[in-house]
Amino acid sequence: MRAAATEVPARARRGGEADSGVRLGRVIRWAIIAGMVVGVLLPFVPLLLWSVSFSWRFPSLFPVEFSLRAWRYLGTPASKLGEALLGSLVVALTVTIISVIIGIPAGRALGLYRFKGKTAMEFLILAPVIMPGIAVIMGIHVLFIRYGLSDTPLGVILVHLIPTTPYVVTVLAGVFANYDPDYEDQARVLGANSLRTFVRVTLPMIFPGVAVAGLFGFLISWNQYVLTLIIGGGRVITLPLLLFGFARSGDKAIAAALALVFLGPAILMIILTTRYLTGSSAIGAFGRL
Amino acid sequence: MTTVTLERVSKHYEQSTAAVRDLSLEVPAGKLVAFLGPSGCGKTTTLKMIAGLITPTSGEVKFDNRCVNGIPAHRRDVAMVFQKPLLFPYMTVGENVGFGLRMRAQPRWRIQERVREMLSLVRLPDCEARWPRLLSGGQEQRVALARALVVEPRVLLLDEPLSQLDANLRIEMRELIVRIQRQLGITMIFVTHDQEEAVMLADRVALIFEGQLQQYDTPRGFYTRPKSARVARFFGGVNFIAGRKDGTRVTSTVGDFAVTRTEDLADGPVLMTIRPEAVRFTGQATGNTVRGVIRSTIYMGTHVRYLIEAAGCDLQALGDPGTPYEEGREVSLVLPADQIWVVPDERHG
Amino acid sequence: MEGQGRIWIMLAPVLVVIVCLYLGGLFLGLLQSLSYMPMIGQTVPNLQAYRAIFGHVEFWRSLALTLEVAFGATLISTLLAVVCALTLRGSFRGRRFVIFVFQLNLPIPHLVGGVAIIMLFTQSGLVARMARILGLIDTPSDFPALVFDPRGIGIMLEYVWKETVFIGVILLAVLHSIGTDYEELAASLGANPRQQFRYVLLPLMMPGILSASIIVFAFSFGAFEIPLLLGATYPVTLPVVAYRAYTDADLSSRSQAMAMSVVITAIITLLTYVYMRLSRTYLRSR
Repeated sequence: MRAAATEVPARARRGGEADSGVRLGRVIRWAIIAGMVVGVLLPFVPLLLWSVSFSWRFPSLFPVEFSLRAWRYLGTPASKLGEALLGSLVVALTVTIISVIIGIPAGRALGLYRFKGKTAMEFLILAPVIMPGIAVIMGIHVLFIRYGLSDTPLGVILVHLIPTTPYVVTVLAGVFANYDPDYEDQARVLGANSLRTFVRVTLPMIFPGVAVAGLFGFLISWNQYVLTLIIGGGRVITLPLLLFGFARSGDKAIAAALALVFLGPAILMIILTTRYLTGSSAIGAFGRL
Repeated sequence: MTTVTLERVSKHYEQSTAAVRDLSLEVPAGKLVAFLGPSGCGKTTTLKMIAGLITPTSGEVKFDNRCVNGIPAHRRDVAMVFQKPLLFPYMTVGENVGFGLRMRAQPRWRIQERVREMLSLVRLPDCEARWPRLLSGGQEQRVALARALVVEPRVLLLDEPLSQLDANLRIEMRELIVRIQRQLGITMIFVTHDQEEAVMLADRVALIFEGQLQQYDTPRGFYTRPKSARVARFFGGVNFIAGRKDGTRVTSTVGDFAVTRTEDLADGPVLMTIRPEAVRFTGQATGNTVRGVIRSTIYMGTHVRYLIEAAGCDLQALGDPGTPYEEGREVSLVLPADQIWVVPDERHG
Repeated sequence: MEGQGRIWIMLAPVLVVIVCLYLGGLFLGLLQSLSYMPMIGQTVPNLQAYRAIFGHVEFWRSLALTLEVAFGATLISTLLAVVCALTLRGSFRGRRFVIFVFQLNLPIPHLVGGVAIIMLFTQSGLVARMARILGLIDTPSDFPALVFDPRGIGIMLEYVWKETVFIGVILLAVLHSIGTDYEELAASLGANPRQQFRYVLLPLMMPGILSASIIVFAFSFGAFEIPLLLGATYPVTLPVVAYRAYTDADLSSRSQAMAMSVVITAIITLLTYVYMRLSRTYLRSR
C-alpha cells in the first residue's frame, strides 16, 4: 500500500473512487473547498453587518456602533419601502399567475406531443434567455407609449412576461414530459367531464411542478430592474429600483438592510427547493436572476 | 502468460456488509476463468480489485506470485472490458483502439500496425475511420475488445461483456472470445451471471455467492460434485432427498440408498441429489429403487420430463418421447448409486 | 387524439407573448434604428444612426470594454467552475453540505451581489480594511480602484461570483452523468490520472463547458444592471451607453440607442453562432 501513497500526480483532480486516492491531493481539495465556501459566503457578511451598523468607517473591520436605525428607517414612509414592496409583490404575483396560466397548456403541448415545428418552437421559447433584455425593451417601449401602457403597472406586468415565460414553460414542459395522460382517460371513462378531470386529476398531479415553475416566475419578475425602469418610467416603484437608488447613495446601512429584504423570496426559494430541486432547467433559471 | 492469485482478499465498505469475503483462488496462466454468481455477489468488485481499480481491505492480489496491491491500475498491465463498450465518442474506432498505445507513447506507425492487427482479429477490418455512434452493439463490443487486446495485457478482464447483446450476437461473441483466448494464450477472467455461458467458455469456474467463494472447479465438477445444495440448485439441480448418511448408506423417508460418491463427507444429515437424466425407470424392485406416481408430463421435444411423487418427495425424471407414460401411472425408479451425489444438509447445521 | 390545431391553440398564448412582445420589440427596435419613427414624422429608413455610432469613438471604446468584461468574466468563471466541479465530484465527508453552500448564491439577485461588491471592494471597503490591518496600505486611496473603475473589474468580480456557481452546478450534473466508468476504463488501458483527465474526462465535459460558457458570455455582454451600478462614469459598457442615449432628451439619440441595441443583439447572435459551429467541429462526432 505504500507505493500508492507515493503515486502523487501534481493535479489531484480525479474524483470517483477515493480508493485509488492520493494523499497530497486531499490537502489541495480541502483548500479549494475552503476557497469555494469563503468565496460564496463572503458577500453576505458585509450585508449583514452593515444592516445593523450605526456608523462604520474605514479602517475598522467591524462596525463601531451597532444599531437598528437602518431597519427603523425602512419602517418609515419616507423610505418608500411600503410602496416598493407593494409594487414588487403585485407585479410579481400577477406575472406569476399569468405565466403559469398560459404556461400550463404550452408546457403540456411541448411535453406530451410531437408535432411539426416543435423544434422551432422550443428554440423560439428559449430565445429570450440568450438575448439581452435591453434591446427588446427599448424597441417595445414605443408601442407601449402608443397604447398608454407605459408608466403603468399593467405595462410592467406585460413586459415581465417576456423573461418569465421561457422558464415557466420549460419547467412545465418537463413536468408534462413525465406525466401520464392515461390518468385523465381513466377519469373520463369513469364519468368525469373535462373541467372535473382537470381539477381533480391533472392539477394535483402536476402541482409540485407548477409550484416550482411559479416560484421561478415569481423570482424572475421580482428581480427585474431594466424592464421596470424603462417601461415603468419611474412611476412604478419596485424593490430593485429602490435598492439601486440607495446603493449608489452614501447610506450603506440602509442599502444593506434593503438588500436583505430584497433577498427574502430568494431565501424562501432555497428553503423550499432544497427538498424538491432537481434538473438543470431549474438551475438555468437560477442563473439568470 | 500470467498467473493471477487471490489470497484471502476481502473488501468492506463502511456502511454495508462485506462485498467480498476472504476470497482465495488461483487463475493458472493462459487459462480462461469465469467468475459466476447472481447479481450483486461481489464478482465485479473482485474483478476490479484484480484490475487495481478498487483496493482490497485485506488480502493480496498477486501476479506471477508477486504482490501487486500497491500498483495502481494504469501500471498493472491488465486491460478491462466493461459491460457497456464505453467507446470514447469523440474518437474514431481507430483512435479508440489505439488509445492504450498512445498512452504508452508508442510511435505512430506501430500504433497503426497494431490497430489494424487487432481490428482484423475481431473481424472488423478497415473500420479505423468509423465513428462509434454508427456502430451496432455487437460491433462496439468488438472494438472494445480490440482496444483492450492491443496493449498486450498480462491479464484480460471482462465484466459481463455479453449481457447487453441479444442472443445470436452473444453466441458469435462467445466464439470470438474463446478463439482469441486460445490464439493469444492470454490469461482471461470474465464475470457473468449466466451459468450456461460460464460452463460453455471457461476452463474453470469460480462460483461466488454474497462475496464468498462457494466452489472453484471445472465446469463439469459443478454437475458431478457440487459442494452444497445451493450450488447444485444454481446449476439446475433438482431431486433433493433429505436423509441421514451412515458410511455408504443413506436412510430417508423415501427409502434406503447405497451411495458410492461421498467424498469424505461426515455422517449425519445430508441431501441426496441426482440429475433427472440419471434417474431410470425400472420394472424390478432392486436396490436404490423408489415407487411413485406420475403427477405431470411435459413434452420437451427431444424428451419428456416427468414429475413424480414418491413418498411425499417430488422427483423429476426424463423419458423417451416415443414411449411416454401417462399421468397417474405408478412407476418404479432406480437411482443408481454412482449417480447420486451427497451434500451436507445446511438446514440442520 | 389531439389534432395539430388543438396543439397550436395550447401554444397560442405563449406564442403571443413571444411573438408580439419579444420579437415585436426586436423588430420595432430594428425599425427605429433605421430611423423609421412615424411618431415624430420620420418615415424614410436610413442608416444615419449607424453611421453616427460607428463614427463615435465612445462607441468603440465601450464595445471594447464590453467585450473585455464579457470574455474576461466568462473565461475566469469557466476555469474556476471546472476546478470547483472536479473538486466537488468525488466522495468526501460533508460533501452534501458543501455542495449546498456552493449553490447558495444561485437565486440571489445580481443587484444584491453588486451591493455586496461595493461593500467589499471599494477603496474603503472591507477588503481594503483588511489590507490596512495587514499593513499593506495606509489610506483608502492606496487601495487599487476595483469598483467604479474604467476597466470594469468590479463588474467582472460580480459576474464571476455568480457565474462560477452557475457553470459549476451545470458541470457537476454533467460529471454525474458521465460517471467514472470511462476513467476506470482508461486506467485499465494504461492512462495515468493526468492522462485520464486530459484525454478522457475533459473531452467528455467539453459540450457542457461550452454550452454553459456561451450562456454566461451572452449574459455578460448584454447585461445592464451591474455595469450601471458598478461601472465608472466613463467608459461604460455598451448596454449602458445605449440606455443613456435612449433616455437622452434629444430624440435623435433614440435611433442611435436602437442602433446600439441592434449591434449588441447582432454581436451576441453572431458570437453564439460562431461558438456553436466551432464547438461542433471540435467535437466532431457529436
